[in-house]
Amino acid sequence: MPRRATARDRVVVTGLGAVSGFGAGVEATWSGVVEGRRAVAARPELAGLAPGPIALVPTVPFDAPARATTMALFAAREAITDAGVTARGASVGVTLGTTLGGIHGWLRTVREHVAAPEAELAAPRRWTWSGPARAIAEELHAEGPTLVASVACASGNAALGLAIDLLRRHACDVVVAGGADALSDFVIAGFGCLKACDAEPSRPFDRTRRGLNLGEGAAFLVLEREADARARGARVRAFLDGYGSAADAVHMTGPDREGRGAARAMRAALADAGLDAATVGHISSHGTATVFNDLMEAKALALALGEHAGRAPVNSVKGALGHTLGAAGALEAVLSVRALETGLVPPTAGLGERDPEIPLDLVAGEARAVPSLQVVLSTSSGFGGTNAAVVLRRGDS
Amino acid sequence: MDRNSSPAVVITGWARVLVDPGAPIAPARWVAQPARLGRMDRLCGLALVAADGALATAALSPADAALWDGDRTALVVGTAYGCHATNEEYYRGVVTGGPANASPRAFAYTLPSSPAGEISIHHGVRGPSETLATGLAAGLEALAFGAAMVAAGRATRAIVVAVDVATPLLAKLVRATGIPSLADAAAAFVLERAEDAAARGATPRAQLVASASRGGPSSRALPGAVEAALADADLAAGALRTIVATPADAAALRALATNAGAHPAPVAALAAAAPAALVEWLDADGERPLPIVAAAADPDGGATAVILD
Repeated sequence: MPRRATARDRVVVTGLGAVSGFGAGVEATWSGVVEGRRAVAARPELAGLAPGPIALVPTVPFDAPARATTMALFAAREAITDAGVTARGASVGVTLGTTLGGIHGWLRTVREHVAAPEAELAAPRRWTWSGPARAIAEELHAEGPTLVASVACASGNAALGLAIDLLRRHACDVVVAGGADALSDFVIAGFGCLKACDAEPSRPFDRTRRGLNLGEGAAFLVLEREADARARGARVRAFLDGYGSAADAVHMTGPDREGRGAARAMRAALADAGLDAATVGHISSHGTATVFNDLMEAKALALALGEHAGRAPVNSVKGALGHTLGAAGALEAVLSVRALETGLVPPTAGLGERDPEIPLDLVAGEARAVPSLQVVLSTSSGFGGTNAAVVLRRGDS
Repeated sequence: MDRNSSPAVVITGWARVLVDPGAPIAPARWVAQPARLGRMDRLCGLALVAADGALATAALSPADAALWDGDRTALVVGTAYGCHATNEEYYRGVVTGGPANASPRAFAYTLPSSPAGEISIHHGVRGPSETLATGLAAGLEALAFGAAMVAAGRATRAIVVAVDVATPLLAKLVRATGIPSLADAAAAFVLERAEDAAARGATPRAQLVASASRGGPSSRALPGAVEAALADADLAAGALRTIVATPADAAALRALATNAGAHPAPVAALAAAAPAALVEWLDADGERPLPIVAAAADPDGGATAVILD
């Protein structure tokens, strides 16, 4: 069946785009995170809904329609412009990771249906999970494969994994790959009823952590095979060397407390990259700031990396950006590329008193200079026991 | 590229559930019966029943330690409308009673990947887990992606499930796209390397030889996907003997595959339509002319084709 290149093609990142609680553009997000600022903030106007501070994208009003698509389109446009890709048609694919997709249009339909059950309903445009991806494909005239991964909070990394496989199989030549999710009463009330949120700004890996803060945003990376990117003279911003995923097979809403599923995903990503644990110079963690996730992740890193788990600087950007759900893996990949380019590992906003049960080299307070940084392992986990990890390596910088 | 560099991937298990909305779905015989099917939402229940049936056809059981390797088994789910039924149940509570009325039990299932979670827990599937939610072609995309994972060595075996559930609200929303009625449907497959199937004495019913997906308007994407898959398989369109697709998609391919008969897919099954028809084709007694193409397009754009030989 689907063929595999005889000499494996390396996948490279040639363009980046992002929008987050810090605003529109990669540099807005990067500067906010690397300076240790927080985009999460109390939202008095959402009192009674939001169980704590959240990070809303300032350029997209909370009551705007098709919010995720708006964010996704911005980030995809920025990424494709950054890459200088002019290709169109079947050579260009799109992969999206999302937990909610175009749900905002459907939410309005349900509200109308509740108010007037017998009334005629017009189907909202692009309301399913594929909505933002279809919009990107249409705008970019991308007629290669469009694939949407929805694996809870690991979706962003899963979309990068789909893109790697499409490129290695030569199913297309360019993939605009990333994630997008936008907040609404649907998801804010849901995390509230699960008691998963901290009423205060979150504190990943802190001894006193009590839960996550929600965030939203979108991020896309333009991915190509290295040979194609070199041939057109593109700047290789980073290599996307590996991807791995694995299921916990333990619980629908809680992680495997021993971190075995996340460890399998990390090991698979490193094996896919052809790299060993000793090469990992920085870990961009999932780090949601829930009690169980952060402890699970420390155990997973110990299982996957052994003695090297305590040597690589670890951060979580969720104290700054909030937990952006299906966008998280993609945003963290974009920030990992910037870390590789600058040799700076952003701090974990909110981390004060380290949890003694988490023996990791956590970066807190201010960014740490790691000029020799070559390889980043970025991890995600989600409901249903999904885990996905990617490995990024320094490019031409 | 040299296609011989990838191992052949075959279908050794298949099953489907195709029932009226809300009708009973529990089979008479399980490979591994869940303690309470009613604990999970209907989307998960359908997917679990279909996956269990495919394992039964493949003569595989998670209880068989000599054959079962959960860490190296992948799970790929494809769905168009995913958890919309549970989303609606949950959100109606929020709309009518405010955030304080949000149900944690329902919210836990407001993810298209919930079926993958339930199947992984129930059968101990701990390898790669992916859920694709790209519209009506998602079921075939899952089949193609599962095969790609096995071919690339990411897993030695894959369980693939296509699933969608009906609700009155969804029926209203899709009517404009020309889908007159809906079913609750799931189709599942077990994929493995031909050499592994032979080693355990399994008899494959078909080999997955190629696949392709295309974006853009479905009028272009559907023939484009089939042509790309044919090129990948080194086949001429005239060699195709059967088209497995909804009547509308099959009609759109008629000019391309002039020598192929049609095996109609039930459009009411949404993303599970072509996969469910493929299960029926695999199950049929008598001659099954090969090669065949299973194809599906989405009205909002994009299509996927899978070729079996």
